[in-house]
Amino acid sequence: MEWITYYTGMQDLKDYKQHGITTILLAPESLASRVPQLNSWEEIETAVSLCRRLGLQAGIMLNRIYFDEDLEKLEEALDRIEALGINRIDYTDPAVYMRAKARGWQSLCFYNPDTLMCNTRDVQFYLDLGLGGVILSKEITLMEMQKIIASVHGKTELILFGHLVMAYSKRALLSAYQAEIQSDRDLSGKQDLVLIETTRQGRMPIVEDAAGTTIYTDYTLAAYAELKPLIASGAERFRLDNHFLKKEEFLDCLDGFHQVLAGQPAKKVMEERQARYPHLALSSGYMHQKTNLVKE
Amino acid sequence: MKKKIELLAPAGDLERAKVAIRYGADAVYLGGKRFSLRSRSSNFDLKDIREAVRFARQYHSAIHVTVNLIPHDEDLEGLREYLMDLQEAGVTAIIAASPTIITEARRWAPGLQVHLSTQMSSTNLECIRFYQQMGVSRVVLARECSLEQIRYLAQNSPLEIETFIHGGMCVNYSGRCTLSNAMTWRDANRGGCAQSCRWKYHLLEKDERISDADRPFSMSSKDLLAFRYIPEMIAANVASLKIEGRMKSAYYIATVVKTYRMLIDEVLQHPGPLSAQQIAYYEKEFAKAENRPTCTGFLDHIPDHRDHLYGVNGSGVTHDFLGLVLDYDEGAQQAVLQVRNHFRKGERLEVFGPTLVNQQFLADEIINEAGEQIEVCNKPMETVRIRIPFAVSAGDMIRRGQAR
Ligand code: SF4
Repeated sequence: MEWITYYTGMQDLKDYKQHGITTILLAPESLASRVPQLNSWEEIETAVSLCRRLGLQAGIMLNRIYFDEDLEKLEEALDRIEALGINRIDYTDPAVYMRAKARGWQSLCFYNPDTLMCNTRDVQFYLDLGLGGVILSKEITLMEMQKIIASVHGKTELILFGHLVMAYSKRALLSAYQAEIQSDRDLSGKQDLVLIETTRQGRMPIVEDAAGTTIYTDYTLAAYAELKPLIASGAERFRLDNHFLKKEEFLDCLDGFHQVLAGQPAKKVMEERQARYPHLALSSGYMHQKTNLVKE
Repeated sequence: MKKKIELLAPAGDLERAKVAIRYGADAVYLGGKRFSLRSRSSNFDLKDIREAVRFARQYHSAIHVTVNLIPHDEDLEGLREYLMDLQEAGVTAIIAASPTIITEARRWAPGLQVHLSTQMSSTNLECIRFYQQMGVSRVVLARECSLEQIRYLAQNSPLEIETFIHGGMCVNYSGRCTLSNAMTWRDANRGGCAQSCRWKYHLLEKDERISDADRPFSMSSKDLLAFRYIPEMIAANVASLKIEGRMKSAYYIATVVKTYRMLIDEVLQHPGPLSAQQIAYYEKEFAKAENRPTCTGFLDHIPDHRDHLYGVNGSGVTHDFLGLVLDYDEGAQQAVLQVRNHFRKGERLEVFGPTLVNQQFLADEIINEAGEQIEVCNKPMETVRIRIPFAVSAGDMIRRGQAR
């Protein structure tokens, strides 16, 4: 079974390993986004060697939408990935697949287009390209996930935990707003900003970086109850997003999944953490909620 | 005669499709009852699609059908038959995003071209090559591309390039936004978007509110108005210029399509940048259709605060649509008019039509169905006769002669 999360600093790797994480995803500056931390290649190099010493797999996030002027940098990244001996690349833009394919690296590529992998046949289409795996959309229900996992040939991965990416824009939405209200606060890169819709209470994290602006759900997905049914359908790879969480909170929530596997009732695991971390608004997300309403 | 560049207009129903074609669209895109975003909102059944194709052919125009939902397993039933029906109906192209829909279309309805929807956020040559291998023949670029990037792609792409020039803009990358899913359970990728980006939000840093109480945070984009870049797009070999707005009125479609038609034809005859005088003229013409405030999108800069709406989001309109010409009696110089909005005797009105450019007249004689002279038209859909001292045709539209 694989448990995947994002790099948050050298100091955290050992703890992640001890709490059952098997794969760390690192995010190079100017090529990745929607991650807790962007890193220079020098940091990535050091982190990858520590991962190796600890027995952790390392992957590289190349998950931006690229323009032609970015492709040279992308090619350089692939050279570095080769030099580092990395065997996993997460991507959104088919340009990454095309460049990787030119090197015969299809099986290193994991396709994660956020919202698009919603049915069995689309997932199989991408797996048939020889990809290492496809990350299913988090907007589909548990039953839909189970059907896809049981039907396709190839590796799928599921997002089981974390604030979910809700939208991303190429626009610097926070800077634009600051200009509009004539404020000189620099909000770029801040990780502690939230939006609250004026008639609601939910707190939605919002982050602006060089790639644009990303908005996250006001809840934290915690699919404890869904873990065993997913495994029963054949799921083996799970991603837990640590973005916006303190390390201790994340590790405790991560432990919850292992407790479920060890036989503890998922309901109890969830309720304990909901009581401990009310601010995380732990939820089952779309697992049991269809979003097929349309405007009449 | 085949036009060099395609003007592609939206239509929410058959009436609007016909208006778009009559007013100069080279192609119209519309949604079927199934497999399309905006499903159930004035979408076309197969009978309507067949009629749209028949009508389009008379004008050497084409029909594209959006089959662009991101399907869940439950949505895919009947896809093959539907694609074959579209082919049989004479549709020129489908606009799709899902690889299943694309590959099924290539396999079972090879007579249909496949155009890749903007939901796939295509922004570079490599991804275009990827979609080429999938059997796509045209790519609708992401709205996030600059003019420079559009030019590069259009000149180097192995596939045709289509780009948006007009209308509403998603503030987020299309196809990747689930604001509406999360806040209303309505899936933007299955036609349910509630435009949650345009709502108002408080912005907090930790627990401190840093947004302005009177001017809350919002993500509402101004609409795209790209007419001034049409000469560059034509020169760059862009295949198709797309107008957004399947929900827009027939009057909006007529005004916008007609104005782009005039502009494109002018540029094709006299290539080169628009003069200040032309820019002023076309700006005034576009303003006659209801619109949010406009911007140039990503074409010349990444949109900033000047390109967003933080206060009122509503549409503005400078010239009301007052009536549709149903017939004209040359001898009596009288038009039969279907009233759409309130106007009075004595007002200056303006007629425009597929072949008529903004001719004004004084509404000095209006006669109702009972044959009585009337002072005011205030019953929508009432038929009246009105004196117009020059020839007009059925399908021409009448609006107020001056900006309000
Ligand atoms: S919420 Fe706004 S940005 Fe998102 S899909 Fe709807 S219109 Fe587009």
